[in-house]
Amino acid sequence: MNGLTPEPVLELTGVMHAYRRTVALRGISMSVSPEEVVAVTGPSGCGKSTLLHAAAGIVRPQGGSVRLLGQDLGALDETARTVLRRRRVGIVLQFGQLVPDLSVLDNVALPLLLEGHDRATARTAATDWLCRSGLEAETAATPAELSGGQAQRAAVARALVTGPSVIFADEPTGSLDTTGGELLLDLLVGAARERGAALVLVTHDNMVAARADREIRLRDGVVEAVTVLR
Amino acid sequence: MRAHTLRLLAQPTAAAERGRFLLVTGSIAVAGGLLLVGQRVARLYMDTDGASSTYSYGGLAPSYGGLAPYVTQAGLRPGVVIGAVLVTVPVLALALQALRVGSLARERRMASLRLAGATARDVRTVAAAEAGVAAAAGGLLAGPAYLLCWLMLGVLMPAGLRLVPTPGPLDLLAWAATLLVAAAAGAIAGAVVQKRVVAEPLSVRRRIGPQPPGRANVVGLVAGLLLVVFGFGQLTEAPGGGEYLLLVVVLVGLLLVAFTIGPRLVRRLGGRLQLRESAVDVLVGARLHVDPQTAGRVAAVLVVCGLALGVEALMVSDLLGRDIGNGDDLSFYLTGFGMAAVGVLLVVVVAVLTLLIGAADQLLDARRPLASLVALGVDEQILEKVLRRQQSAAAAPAVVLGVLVGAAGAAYLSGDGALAVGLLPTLLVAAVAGGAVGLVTRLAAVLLRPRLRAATDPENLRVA
Repeated sequence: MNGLTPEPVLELTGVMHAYRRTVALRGISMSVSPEEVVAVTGPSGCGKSTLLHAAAGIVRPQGGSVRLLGQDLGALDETARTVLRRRRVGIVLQFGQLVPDLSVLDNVALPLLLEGHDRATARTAATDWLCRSGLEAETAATPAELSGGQAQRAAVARALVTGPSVIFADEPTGSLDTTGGELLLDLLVGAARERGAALVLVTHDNMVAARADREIRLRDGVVEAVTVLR
Repeated sequence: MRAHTLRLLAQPTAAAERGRFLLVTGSIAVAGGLLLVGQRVARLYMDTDGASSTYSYGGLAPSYGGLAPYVTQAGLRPGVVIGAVLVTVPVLALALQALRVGSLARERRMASLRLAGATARDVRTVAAAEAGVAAAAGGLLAGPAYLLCWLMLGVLMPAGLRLVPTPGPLDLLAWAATLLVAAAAGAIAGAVVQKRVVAEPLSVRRRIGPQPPGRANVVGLVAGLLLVVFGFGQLTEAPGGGEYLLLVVVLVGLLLVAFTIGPRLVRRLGGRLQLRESAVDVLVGARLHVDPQTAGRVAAVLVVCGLALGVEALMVSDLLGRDIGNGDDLSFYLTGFGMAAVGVLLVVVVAVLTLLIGAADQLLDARRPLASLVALGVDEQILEKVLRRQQSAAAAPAVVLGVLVGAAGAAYLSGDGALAVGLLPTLLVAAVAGGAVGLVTRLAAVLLRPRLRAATDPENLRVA
């Protein structure tokens, strides 16, 4: 670092990964700066989700290195990577993936509870984020009682409740209609910009990508193009 | 993880989770109750105030309150104790099977927990707490279960046939120990079962695939064989009293052999079925070959049941063919055999229940491929046939094999002529037992029909 450019919150260098014989990533290098919103786009099967999973430390790539928030993920064991994600990273997947038998409130409070916060504090923070997500009337509901859009907004609230420095979202609007998708993006991108968190959005939707500062387009596991949008 | 978080995450709220909890609790309660019965019968010698507890047939002391000679006679009592303990084996296997149930919903929950930031260890802690609490509840209910056994087998039975003595103060201690052991064993089992599952934060869960029998299996098999050979070799020469210890050695060896060889035989059977031309056989064979554990364990239990039936068949036919004195003696023996047969029946029911639960779990697990098969044009009736064959393919041969081996072993111990007299009854018992197990598995397939229908719902094609 030269002192003028802030250190990237995420830096991938020559990342390679394969599932048996299918190569998903072929030596990808990229970085994400603090407060930056980056869209990773490309056709189905180009390696977008694998890239996100490797960047978040969910998948350990078979080659190259990933530095997330100053930490080399290759040097961390699974527990350390999980703890890092829990404390400083938020993740939103396509279908919300909420814990089915917990109430929406407890789902959102869960990262704080796992971190050792007392229940009252965790619930207060969760209630705050649920209100901001427009789900104040749904706190006692279970995930099965929510619509797809509501479940995704609850997942966003869960991702934001710990105040993460980086948020990863994998096709967050993939299961929603246009209006629901717009609402969700407003919440996600708005919260990231407001809190100064970096946001990495994996999407194949150009409308979603248009919300980003920069678009990284993948094809066949390599970076095909990088476009600065704003 | 703090206690309130663990409590929040470990409480069963979904229907499948509650069912799992109840099954574990119920199984442990029954097993615990039987163990308490076993220890109470074993402690009966303490009630004699130091006097000899050996009585002649039918000679019951008034203080024994009409207890059957099978428990009052020092020579027969260990048999009852061993029987009570043996019945707990399949019941505990059922509890273990129950811990694996509800896998899809459950593993999705665990994956969601991982996504929310729970470490793999947190997830195992939750699983251990869930199982530990369920098992502790079972341990707690073991006391009432024991009292129920006492009521049914000790109070309501006619004098002279009562098997369970009146509970004493020491039973409270035994109950407390049962509770503690159940809770600890449940927690350990829960963590171990969870360890076989790779819960990752992604929506797609990945399970460590069913494993073929490994090195531990070989060690268990060799140890079991050694125990059987040693025990059998010494059994005919053992001095008075020592024969029960040797019988326990043989039984432990047989259980080891049955539980280690069961999955091997089922896997091999699956491999052979896969080579056949029929689509049903190929589907059944593939399933048994990939996951021989559940069917193998149940087959092991059924082999042991068959062994008991085979021994009984030979001994009863041998008994009826001899002049053994007055009618009371004959009734004494036949009543004993009848009781043992009821015990075996109970075990068979529990074993088939275990199969049923395993199959239901598997249907849940395989709902997408099953829905795909139906979408491809495979008739639902064919799938039901697959399910039925899957249950009976190993179970029926296992019980028949057990009957034949049991009868052969009993003939060896009884001496010349026993096999000749008992051959026909043994074959008859083998046929009836095999047919009965086949019938019960057919009934199980009928019970599973709604589950199968749910699994083949086209909506499941969209399941991740």
